Amino acid sequence: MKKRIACALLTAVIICGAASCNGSKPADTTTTPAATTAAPASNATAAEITAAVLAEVPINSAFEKKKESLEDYFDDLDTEKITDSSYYICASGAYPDEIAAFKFDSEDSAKTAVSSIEDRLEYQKTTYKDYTPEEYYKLEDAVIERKGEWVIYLVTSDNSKAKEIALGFIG
Amino acid sequence: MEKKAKVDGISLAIVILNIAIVAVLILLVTLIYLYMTGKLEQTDVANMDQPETTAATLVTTAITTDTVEHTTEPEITTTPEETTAPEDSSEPEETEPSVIEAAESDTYDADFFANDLFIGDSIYTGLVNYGYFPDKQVFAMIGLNPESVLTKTDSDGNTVFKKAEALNPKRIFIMLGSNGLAFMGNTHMAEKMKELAKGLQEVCPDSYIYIVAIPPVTKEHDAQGQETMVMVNGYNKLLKSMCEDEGIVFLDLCSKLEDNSGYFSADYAEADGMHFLGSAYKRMLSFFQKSIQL
Repeated sequence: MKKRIACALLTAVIICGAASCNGSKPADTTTTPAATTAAPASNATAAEITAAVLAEVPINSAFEKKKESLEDYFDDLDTEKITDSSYYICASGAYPDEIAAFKFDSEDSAKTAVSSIEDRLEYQKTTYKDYTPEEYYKLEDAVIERKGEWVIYLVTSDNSKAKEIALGFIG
Repeated sequence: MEKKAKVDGISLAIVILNIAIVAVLILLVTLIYLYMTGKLEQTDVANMDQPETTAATLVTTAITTDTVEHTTEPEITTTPEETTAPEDSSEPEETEPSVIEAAESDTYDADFFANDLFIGDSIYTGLVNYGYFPDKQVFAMIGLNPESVLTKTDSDGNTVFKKAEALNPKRIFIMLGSNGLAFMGNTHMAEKMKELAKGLQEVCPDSYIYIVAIPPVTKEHDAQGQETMVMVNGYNKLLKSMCEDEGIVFLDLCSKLEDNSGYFSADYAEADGMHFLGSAYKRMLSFFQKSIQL
């Protein structure tokens, strides 16, 4: 009897294992971010915030950089402190547009990160001032906004609109 | 006793059934793993590496002879047959939401370029931005031109020569000049490109150096007058001539990105008419690999 029970249990484990294999498809990051309505601050994700901004204020050749790549763009940014991030750039290099939402593990971490993002903005300003002066307006009123553990960074063709949308998520 | 034997028989059957299921599952998981990691295609890609020997020899000849006297450009810029392209196993992990898909033939093998260095302006920053190559393989800056590349330093404080020396790449691809068209003379730019190539040869004597034609501009961009196709073609012609004189391989990327009218094809051009869409990088890398493998 014990053998039959053991066999039955083994069968159940195998079937469950096989079923769980089906559910392990990695998240698809290739889709265009869909516009979403503002969610309460506690529920919003970085991807939802950037997707909402992109839907209203699109950028050319928008390309999302993963957390692992952030150090290529933000010197001294402690990515270990980031708990959620979404960062879009104009990958062609033609335009200075950037849309980012970072959530940190604490308010202190977020405050520290602001200076790194400010450095990035200054670098972009220096670069684009002579390169494409007609695009410089995007950098002049760029947004770096911290709310609690969140930091929003926006360099777009309509920064006030982008800011309004982003802050709708994080308060 | 008979009942116990019957029970044992059923248990044995269930155990055999379980073993069979486990075996099938292991086989399936192995196949899925191999497929996901691309190892099932590795054989094809590895076979495509074979022609490299010929290309390397060809390039070595060109550069070696440079120390004695100038040679003509090796015949490697001919368009190869599309059917020889290896499967593209090199999709960047990060993906662009709105990129136009490149033509099916625009395939390349990322491993082919694994030890190479790319030197360029804002267009080549796209190689990192799109995730084609890591930062360590690219020396590119917005606004860089054939003169400023000789002295500018990257975010780590390295000059192009220091970066090349540290990487010691197998190949070096240089595409510069678009930023100087409007205010720098073509002859001056070509001279600076020669200076760059010679400097790189000194610090990386074992590297193969390729100079790439600057890309075309769209008809709309041309009409603005700052950078025109007349300027692009004039500079590329001079650059090709310099390469022939110096025994450096010239890769005519420009013609690969043009439409039927001779302007930058809308399939590859960013809205500003000069920069690359994601699809253009695939086309460029595919062209490089096919040309070198000939």
